[in-house]
Amino acid sequence: MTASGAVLTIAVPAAAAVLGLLTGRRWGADTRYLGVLGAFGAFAGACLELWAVLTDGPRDRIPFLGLVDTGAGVLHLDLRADQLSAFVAVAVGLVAFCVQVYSTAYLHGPGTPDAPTRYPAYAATVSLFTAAMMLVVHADDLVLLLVGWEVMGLCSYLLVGHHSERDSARRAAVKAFLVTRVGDLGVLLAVVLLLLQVGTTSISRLTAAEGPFDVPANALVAVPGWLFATVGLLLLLGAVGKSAQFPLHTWLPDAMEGPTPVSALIHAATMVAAGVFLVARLLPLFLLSDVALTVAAVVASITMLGAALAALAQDDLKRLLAWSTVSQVAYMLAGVSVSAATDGEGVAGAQAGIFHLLSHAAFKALLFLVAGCVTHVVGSTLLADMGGLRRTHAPLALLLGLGLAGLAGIPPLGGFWSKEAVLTAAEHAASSGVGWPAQMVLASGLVTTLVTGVYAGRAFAIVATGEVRPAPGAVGAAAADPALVPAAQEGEPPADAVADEVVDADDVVAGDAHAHPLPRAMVWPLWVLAVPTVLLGLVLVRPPALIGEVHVEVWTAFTGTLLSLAGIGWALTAPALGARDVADALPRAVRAALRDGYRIDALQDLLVVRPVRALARAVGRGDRDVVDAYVRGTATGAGWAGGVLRRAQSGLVTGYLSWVLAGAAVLAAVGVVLS
Amino acid sequence: MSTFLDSLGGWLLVVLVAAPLLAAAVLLAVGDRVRDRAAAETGTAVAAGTLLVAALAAVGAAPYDRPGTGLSVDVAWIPALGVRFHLGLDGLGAPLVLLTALLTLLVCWHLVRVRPVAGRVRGLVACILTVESGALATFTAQDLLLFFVAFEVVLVPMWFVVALWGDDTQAPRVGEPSTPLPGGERARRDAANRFVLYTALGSAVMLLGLVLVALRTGTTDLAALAYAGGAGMSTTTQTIAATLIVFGLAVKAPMFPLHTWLPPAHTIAPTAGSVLLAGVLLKMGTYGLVRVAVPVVPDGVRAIAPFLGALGVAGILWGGLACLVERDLKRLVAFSSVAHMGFVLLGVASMTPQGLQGALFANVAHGLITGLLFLVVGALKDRRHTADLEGLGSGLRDRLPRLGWLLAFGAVAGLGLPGLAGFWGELLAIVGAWNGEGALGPLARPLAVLAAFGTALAAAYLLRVLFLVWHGPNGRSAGPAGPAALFAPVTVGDATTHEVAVAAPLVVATVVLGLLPWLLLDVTAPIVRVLLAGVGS
Repeated sequence: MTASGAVLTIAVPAAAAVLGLLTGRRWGADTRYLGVLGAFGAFAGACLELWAVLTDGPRDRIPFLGLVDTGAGVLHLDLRADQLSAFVAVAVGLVAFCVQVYSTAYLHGPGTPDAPTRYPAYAATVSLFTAAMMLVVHADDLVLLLVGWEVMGLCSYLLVGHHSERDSARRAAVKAFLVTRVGDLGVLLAVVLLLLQVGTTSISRLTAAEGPFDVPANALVAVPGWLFATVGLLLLLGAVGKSAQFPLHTWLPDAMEGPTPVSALIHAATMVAAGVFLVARLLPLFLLSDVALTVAAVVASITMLGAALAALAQDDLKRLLAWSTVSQVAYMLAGVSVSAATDGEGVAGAQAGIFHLLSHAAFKALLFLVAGCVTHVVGSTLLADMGGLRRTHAPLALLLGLGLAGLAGIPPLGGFWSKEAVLTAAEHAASSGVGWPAQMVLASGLVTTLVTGVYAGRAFAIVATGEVRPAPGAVGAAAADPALVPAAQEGEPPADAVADEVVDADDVVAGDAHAHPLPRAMVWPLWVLAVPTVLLGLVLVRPPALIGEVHVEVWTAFTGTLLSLAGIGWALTAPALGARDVADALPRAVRAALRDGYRIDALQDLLVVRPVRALARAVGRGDRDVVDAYVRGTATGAGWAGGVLRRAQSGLVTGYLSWVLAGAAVLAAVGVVLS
Repeated sequence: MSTFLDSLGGWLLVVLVAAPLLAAAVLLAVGDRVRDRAAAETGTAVAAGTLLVAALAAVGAAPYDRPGTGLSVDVAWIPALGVRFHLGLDGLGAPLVLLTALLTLLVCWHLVRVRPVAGRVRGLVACILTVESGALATFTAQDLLLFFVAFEVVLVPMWFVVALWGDDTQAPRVGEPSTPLPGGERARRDAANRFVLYTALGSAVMLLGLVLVALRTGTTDLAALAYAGGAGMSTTTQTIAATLIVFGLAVKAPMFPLHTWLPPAHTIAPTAGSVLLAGVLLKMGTYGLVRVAVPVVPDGVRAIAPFLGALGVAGILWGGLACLVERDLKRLVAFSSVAHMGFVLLGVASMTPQGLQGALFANVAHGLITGLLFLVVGALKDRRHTADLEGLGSGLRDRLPRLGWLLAFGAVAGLGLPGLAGFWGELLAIVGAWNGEGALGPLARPLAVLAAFGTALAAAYLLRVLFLVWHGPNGRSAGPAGPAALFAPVTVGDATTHEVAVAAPLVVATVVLGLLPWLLLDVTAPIVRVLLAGVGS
């Protein structure tokens, strides 16, 4: 039962992806049913697995792809199913299902010849993405995990670049793949090290222990101490790339070029969560050396505050949410990083991190899908174009409020419990085994709570309250065809698209776009996601072993709640005090720097991209002018030598005779000298 | 089944080698009475039969645990020199024999519907079958001199393929934005001559090494030499022999900086020629390293392994960087071969089981993936008469979705995505290099890390291709580009069912080997242990 559930979560969406690609040309947009079915199959499989794991206990070594004899150790490409994989799988399945249903309405229609919807490819890629994440979640071998890990990178490339006719989208896609690939080198080298030094990459064997997060009983004693520090750091590099943590976070805000439901998928349950999942999955390995966890704590502390401040200054709703993801994932990483082997309660940190992963999956998916609806209504993702949602679409405003409240951690929503659990774990760790990294996490976490409150409140104040803004340019047309929305956002007026679409959009009265009803398929997934957003805290009444040691300290919770309420209150009252946008309080230069993500992109361009390009040009020339020059030189040399020797064959008898005479003279001279 | 195969014995191998050669001779003899299509169909039938024989032989040769056994035929050939006509199939040769037979079948089948620009399909098919015969003989030869002869036989038909059927339109090279390369007859001759002269020079040097080995050990039997493991030769002799042999094979592989024959040859060759060059001929070089260098003169190879490994990694980085600025898609794929073969060389140089396993796996994976890429680029060139990344136009995924997806798949496989065939060879080569301190010395770990960076580089240049060609707006440059637009295109529109069917086996094999790598690794594992056991003693 456990095994079949785990295999189903991978096999069903993978089959849906393959079938969808093969039948895409014939069935066209009808492949959306395949996508929805695939995601539902994954969700059902995950539920089955969860039920089986909760009743029968975990299982490892579920046969999947067989044994690989590398000559240095045998790789068992098996799966495992335990509470960690089952809970995350349920979250992934639920979000993927909601995204697939939502997309059927969001990306409807054939699009335009210049910007086709490409629905079959889209649905198949989302299915493959789901399968890859499920593989990461269930892999019992690090190499198998790496397979899912990189296939996920590929899918993010395909989906971020889905509107590939747009230059910004294809650039963002390449960036997303390359930046995460650099991080993946860490995982690759960690695999090499583990395979050679420990002789196995089997996760079961590397983490053989009682509970999911305990130090392995065998402690792998024969292995040199430096190894685990190195392996930990390399794995952390991979996690930092995938989870978009400083300094490899730069791809995520740009990845907003993808269709909005894709953002929900990437940010909520797959890809970004995978990095934290990796650290949690291999926590016993990390606990053998505190170097990597200390670095993780520092990275997380920097990222959570920095990204929250950047979120505060964004002008675009999707980019605001993207930066909030970076910040929230840093919370998860922070939770995991304050786990300590020395303290019996240390693993509470990892449990809190995973708990936050689950609650974040719910509220962030909700937020992105709501943002998609808002975009659908307004025809733009710019905050400046939004306003008054409370009056035009009250239920949508409510859902947005729930999502943002979850983000800010307002009781009694799920986000409150998980975030306070992280902070409590950090506080415990600070006063026990972990020391200064935990104190840093705690301080940064508390400040971030305030900033999160401010930007969540700011988003709500701008989008839900205030005046209803007249939609920019394309009234209704953009709303009728969401595929065009990003084009509008890029500042290219979709003029001809308007002309084409207004005829079809008969349910949209020009000038009254805000009354535009939302398709049902875009609304009910929101309510589905709202349930865990609100009620996830109830799990703590009878917590499963996975989060059995999570607990929330009253005073920490009180402080955290006060801070986020203060932030929200500040942002919400700003309009009443005359400033529509609380971010206007920032100095202009600071705001610009924050909005551009501290211009780390420019630094990356200067330090990496340009030198590599220059080197490549040098190599391109060098191949012709240096390496090949020697080769051409031999040809020239042979020709030249032939030319010289040809002189000897002049065909003139006198010439030959003089050679004979000269030779005779030389021989005679030699003879005389030698005798 | 097995008794049937046993009764056939090694004669299956003789059929394997002789059938394509005979068919080529017949095709040449019948003259122009045979129409192009019929010639291609004949070639396809022969190649299909050869693949069947190869599959039977591969089954019959199991369980692949000793060099030169399984199936073999062994008769006296040149008694005066003690040279024997000794063919045998083992775990080292079997995957490459199957790959060669498969690729030959696909390119012949491809010619049934897709006519090369130069026409004269009958001659082309004959050349292809001769190449196949020579390659199969190389991969089954169990005698040093027989190996050498087979190795050389391939050059002649390949010269004709490049020189006569070459496709001589090329995009300008880096740093020459305006002056196009010479086209026409001159370009084809230049590429073909360069290929033959370069590899013949390498072979001449290799022959010296082989003769040295034969004289010192008194045998040319590869199995005996492998079991001897270099016994009877001093380390100095071995080093000299290894240097000579490896030089010759490194030209073919090719190894940086001996690679400059490859880009023009691969670029100019017609699609069928490019596929065979990349999928079969390059493999002969790296196969030779594993067959006639590592087990025969192990101490010598160990002595020069640091250079081999370092140059392999230099090739990975050099090829990758060159690809980042390359304008001609076909030449880009060719340069990417230099990078991919760098992994193979690194794996061999590590002299570890993982490294050799990785090298053999990467060999096959590269044949499949690069074969696919050359098919796709060839199809694009048939339609646009250029492979210039600027001239191909963007938005391929919308304009020509089938070709677009095949190109995207090839690129993704080429960048070594885990889950596809390209990954395992690279992973194992890096593992081997890290573990290869016995051969590579202190360079082992730096080389492993640099090779890992090469995988990121591969992602960069292949994504650049997709960025320029696959993604992007689909509106512009819909018709043929440049002066070639004046001529009627050979093929228009998206990939035909036939073209997709030709590419499909490569796609399927790439996925299957990517997900179930043990299919191949289990075949090569036992013999790699045996070959390296000789090294240890």
